[in-house]
Amino acid sequence: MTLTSIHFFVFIIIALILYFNFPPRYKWIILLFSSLYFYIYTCGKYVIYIIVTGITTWLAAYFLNKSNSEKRQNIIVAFTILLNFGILALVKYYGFCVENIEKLFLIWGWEVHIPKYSFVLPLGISFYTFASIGYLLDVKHKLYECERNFAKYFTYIIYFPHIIQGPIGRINRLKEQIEKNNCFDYVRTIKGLQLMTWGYFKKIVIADQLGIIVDLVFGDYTRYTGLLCIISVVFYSIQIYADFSGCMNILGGISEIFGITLDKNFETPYFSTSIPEFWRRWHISLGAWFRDYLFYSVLRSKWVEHIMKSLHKKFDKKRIRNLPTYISLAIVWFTTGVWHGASWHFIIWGVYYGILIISSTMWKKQIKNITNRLKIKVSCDSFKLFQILRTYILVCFGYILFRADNMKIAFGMIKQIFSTNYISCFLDGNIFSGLSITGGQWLIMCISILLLFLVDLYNQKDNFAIWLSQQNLVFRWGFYWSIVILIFIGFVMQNGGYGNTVQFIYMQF
Amino acid sequence: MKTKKIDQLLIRIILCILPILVYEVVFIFGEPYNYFGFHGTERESKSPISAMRYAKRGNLRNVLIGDSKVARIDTEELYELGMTDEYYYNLAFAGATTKEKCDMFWYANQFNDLKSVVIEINFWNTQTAISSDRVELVKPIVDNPMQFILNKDYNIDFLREKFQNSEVNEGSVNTGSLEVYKEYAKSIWHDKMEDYSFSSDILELEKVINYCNSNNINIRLVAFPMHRYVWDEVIQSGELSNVDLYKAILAENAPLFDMEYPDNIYTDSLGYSDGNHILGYDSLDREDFEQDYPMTADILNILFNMRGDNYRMYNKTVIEELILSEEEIAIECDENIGIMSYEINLTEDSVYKISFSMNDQDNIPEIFYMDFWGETYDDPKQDITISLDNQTQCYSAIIDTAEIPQEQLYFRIIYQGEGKININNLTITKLSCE
Repeated sequence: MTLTSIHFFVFIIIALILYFNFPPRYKWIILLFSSLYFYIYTCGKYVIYIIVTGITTWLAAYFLNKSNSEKRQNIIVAFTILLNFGILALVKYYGFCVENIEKLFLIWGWEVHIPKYSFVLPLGISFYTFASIGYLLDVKHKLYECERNFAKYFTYIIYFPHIIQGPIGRINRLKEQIEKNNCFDYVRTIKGLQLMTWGYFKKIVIADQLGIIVDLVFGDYTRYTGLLCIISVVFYSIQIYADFSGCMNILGGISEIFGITLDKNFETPYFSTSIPEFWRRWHISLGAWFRDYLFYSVLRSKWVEHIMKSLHKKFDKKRIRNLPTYISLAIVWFTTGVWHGASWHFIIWGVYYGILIISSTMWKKQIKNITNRLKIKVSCDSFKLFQILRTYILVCFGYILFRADNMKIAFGMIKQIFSTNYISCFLDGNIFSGLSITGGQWLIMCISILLLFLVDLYNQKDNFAIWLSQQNLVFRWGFYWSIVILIFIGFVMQNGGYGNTVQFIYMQF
Repeated sequence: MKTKKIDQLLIRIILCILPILVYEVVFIFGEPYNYFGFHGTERESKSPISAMRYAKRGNLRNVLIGDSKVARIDTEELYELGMTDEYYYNLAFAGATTKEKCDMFWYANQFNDLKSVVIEINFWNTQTAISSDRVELVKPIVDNPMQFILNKDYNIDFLREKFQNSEVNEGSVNTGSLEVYKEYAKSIWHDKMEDYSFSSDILELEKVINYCNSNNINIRLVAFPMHRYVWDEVIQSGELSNVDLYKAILAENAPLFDMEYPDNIYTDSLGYSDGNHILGYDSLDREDFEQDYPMTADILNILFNMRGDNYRMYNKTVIEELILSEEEIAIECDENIGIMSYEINLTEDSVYKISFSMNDQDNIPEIFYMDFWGETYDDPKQDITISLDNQTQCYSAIIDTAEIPQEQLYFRIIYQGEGKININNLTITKLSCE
């Protein structure tokens, strides 16, 4: 069931009618069954994976709560984490590992054949595994009590608006909201519908249309000029943002109508002035998870402490005091790359960000000194704009590694970008030749991107929805109708969601 | 209070989608395919969807199936003018392949108690290079109005028709001089005949004929005449024997009204729009129609009333020469792949029919594939993939050998699945025409 299908709309309407008409104490049961229906309809028998994760983490949390022995608690946590990350690793990384182990042995001259099994990646496995492990660790750290009712706990895990692409929500926040008596609320519903509409606009009108060009160029970059490669990378940056944040808006909007506010996952990330800031504003819930459960765990771990102790004997304490941070950052960014997929280009992409973030932390002082010496005004708008552009270019470079199907394509694209004569590109006439996109499609795309940019720009400082509600009736309805008509055109361009539909990018993770 | 708020919400939602609702109402009443039947019985568009929608409504007794050569005939007008003895509903559509014609027949037969069927046939659309499957593709749209009103192509067609005044899916038919015929023959038929390879679709048509014969449905086949310039391309390509074989296979069980032969008087007629399509369908109501368009009048008479002089009842027969016969073959598989091959002697540019049955319905392979193969003889045209199912027991396919090298050739059966499979009554026969 895709979010852009008629079937999904019918499903939501039925779920809402049942939800608002059910006795307050049992409303969560509607959420459980509608989420189960959604999951089984989409994934079929692979629902077993989420059931296993649900049962094991719930049982582990239950026994953690009962046990007073720290050693025993550690064993329970370690076993549950191993089991669940083991499942995730098996379905997501088995093929990749086998392939690389075989290649490694081949380098040494041994031809090894490891049995190959292909696993279907269940919907949202990375998201719900992280969310439930996060819950387990929170219970271990006594941040909150464990949930005694398995069915309720399973509702928090499988709750359909956050299972598809996150956010990797904190179970306690979700629990509080699900257990509330959520009645029909006009204002919330309007807010939810507005969010959904904006999400569909981003997904159908912007992301899916840009995706056509991006797929063309990344599919065979040798046919296109370096300029077109750059344009396609820029388009990809807009596509992935519109796709991911669009999905978050749709699901956030639906959840809002149910009376449950999902965690924020985006905060106009392309207006970030540095890479660390970008990652605080992009896929916020994943960054927060890694920070809370991986970064700090590594930072405070005994083995890092042990390394530091042995290094203190050889080096000056001052010089290596930030080493634990760098080790933690390196691990976090390597894991972030791996989390995104079983492929070298994702790992290199993670390492790329690791290097950027570690080096920016490492040379923070030196950069500050240089700007001071050169008397650069860091607080003025032009410098801020420079920082935003610099960050965006670095992010776009990362997207080449991220979007390419393998490293060969990524390097090929980079080579193509740097081996083009840009002046002749502009003089040769139509720079977009070779892309079978009509003038009408270009126009719709440009207007839509501009609209997205302006709304995000406004949202930087204020709330666009509130601003819009204060405008005259004609402007307000003109805006609503324009968006609805554009969505309809995009929807029809995809044959109404029948046949081959364009999936959300982050669904594959 | 709550109900009032819900009402308010519903009003706002309706207001929000009002432009779309208005557009959809306009689309539903103005779409060119008469999907919803608001334009009466008339089929305004010659596309598969309008034919299928009409066929689905039922009450059809006599139908005409074919491609653009017959799609333009206004059968309703013909009947009203008394030019046909019975009313035939026109289910033809532009570019229909043999497979699509068969699919259209099965679709119409599903919803109607058919009495007679006229199928326009042509050999150039029965080749491996042409494999469109529109009837199957359109089926879900015919059954689901939502899918129709949200379909990109139909919406674009509707807007084009409204704003550009262009007709939909008619296929471009240009009226012109002998030069136009020449150009048309070269540009279209030359390519089609150059790479001609017999396809198994003819066996589908054979199934339709057999079904009609056993269910008292009167079936007749009609081959339309073509201009000399088009014929020249066929003759030059050396495929004349295939044209004969094609007709002989079909004429075995159904009357074939053949107007398609080189010495037919119509080969030199100027009554074509392009050497293949006939002029005058839009002048049926004119008093001097028969005088101005004698060929068209004659063809219509032959097509619907079986009267006229310039046709022949095709009566050549098929000669079958047995090449291979095996009563039972058991094929074992290794790592999910099973292969069996036979050394075989083949003749160049010949047509072979392969028939077999599968009595064991319990183990149906996922992929079942047969071909003629040699080390330097590995063209997809000699490959046949057969979809096996639990209902069908007897299968047949046709392979055209085309050019063959001087080397040992094999007939291979390859499948992907689990366990052993048994094939019964395998025969390979070489088909030719007397």
